[in-house]
Amino acid sequence: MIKTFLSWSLPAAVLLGLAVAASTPAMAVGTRAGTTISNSATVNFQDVNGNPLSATSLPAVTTVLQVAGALVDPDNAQTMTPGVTYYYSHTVTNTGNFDDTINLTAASSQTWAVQIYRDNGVVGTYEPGTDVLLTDSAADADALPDSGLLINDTSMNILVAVSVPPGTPNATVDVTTVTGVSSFNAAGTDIARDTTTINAPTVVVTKSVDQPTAIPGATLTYTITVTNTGASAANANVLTDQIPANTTYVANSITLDGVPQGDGNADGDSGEYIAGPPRRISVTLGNLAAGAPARTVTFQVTIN
Amino acid sequence: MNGNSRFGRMGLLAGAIALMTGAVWATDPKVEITVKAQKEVVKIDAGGKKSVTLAAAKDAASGDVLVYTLRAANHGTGAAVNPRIEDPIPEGTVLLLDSVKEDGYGIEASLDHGKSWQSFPASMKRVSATGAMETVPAPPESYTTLRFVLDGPLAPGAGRDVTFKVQIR
Repeated sequence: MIKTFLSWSLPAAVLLGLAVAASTPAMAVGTRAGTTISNSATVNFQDVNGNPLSATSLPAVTTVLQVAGALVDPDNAQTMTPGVTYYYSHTVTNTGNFDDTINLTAASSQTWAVQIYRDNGVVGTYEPGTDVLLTDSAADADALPDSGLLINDTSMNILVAVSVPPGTPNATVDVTTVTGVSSFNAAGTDIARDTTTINAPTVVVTKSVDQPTAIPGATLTYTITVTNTGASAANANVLTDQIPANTTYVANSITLDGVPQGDGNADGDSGEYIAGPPRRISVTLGNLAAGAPARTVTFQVTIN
Repeated sequence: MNGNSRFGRMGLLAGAIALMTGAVWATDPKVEITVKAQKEVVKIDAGGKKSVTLAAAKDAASGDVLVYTLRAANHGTGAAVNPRIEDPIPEGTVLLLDSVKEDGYGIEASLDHGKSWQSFPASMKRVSATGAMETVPAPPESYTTLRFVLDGPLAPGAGRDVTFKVQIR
């Protein structure tokens, strides 16, 4: 007997735990719209001779109204480099008490290109061809992209594609808001925010000359420094500088970080003089990691 | 023939029936019960002050609080002895335990649709985390039925109200 009781009690305890968890004040799972809540009471009594009698009331009936509810979760944050598209994953839930259609829109605070995909494949991963752009469904036919028919208390997955334009400056912050609105009642709405912070290279070039004033025939040395003060690598850097008018380039005068460079194009080093026009020097610097030491280029000209 | 005596016998029988029913009428309690459903309407004014009023609960939304008033009134001619009002918690709602208060009646609760009863608030047994049996207060959603045991008999013409609240899931 005890054994039977215990084996019954264990699942009961588990059920009890679930029931308590489900009874949090904010009831996500609402009684479905149109359900009738009926209350009928019975009174039992006796007459003076102890004969049992009873009466039952007519039911008091309350019909549950249709209440819209939408939930878009979670808020995301991501660090990205320019020229890249990131796919933010969200869950859209119909928290109303009837089968609804939730319109979904996304807007970037930087007015970047954003698109919403129905996440049909692996949740959170964009799979071309499988995950398709969200469109308006016949469920509400209001020309706004939507969830399609979403049974109450069920969810769908979406991906919000945020495309960072090439050349976006370092430390730019974009907040893309993803809004879900019940097509039955706009009061059923929720917003999720995707915050994108840009890690971009910032290449700073300075140039100085050793003599602020000079006479014809004098030799001037120009010093150019190139640094990446940004948050990500700047790749394939090439420095070019035109030879000023009224000056003549001093042959083989280019140095890179103190190392002399030949003027030829195919001489195996990084520097090159190009007769033009325009006359110019070109130095291939390659990749500059964020915060890497400055590269220094010098060259000389004589005043005509 | 003796038509008179036959009529007289029938008249006697009718009189006896009349007497019998008359005797029953004199002590017959007839309790009728009604259920009134109202919903709480919460208003928050500009100053953030909350006020609650009651409105008819023809319809209501999920999360709304329904106030049920059960009225038992004796329309009969004799006292109703040992009156008890029994009311199942309506499907789709959860009892608000705070709303159940003794007020000229005792309260009993059932967690199994009236098979067994205990005094309110009810408790239930479960297996604790350590595997031992423990008795815990029954959670609101485990209540299935309430029984209001009115104090004393209901005299003819007397009525009593009992009230409790539920929240729509």
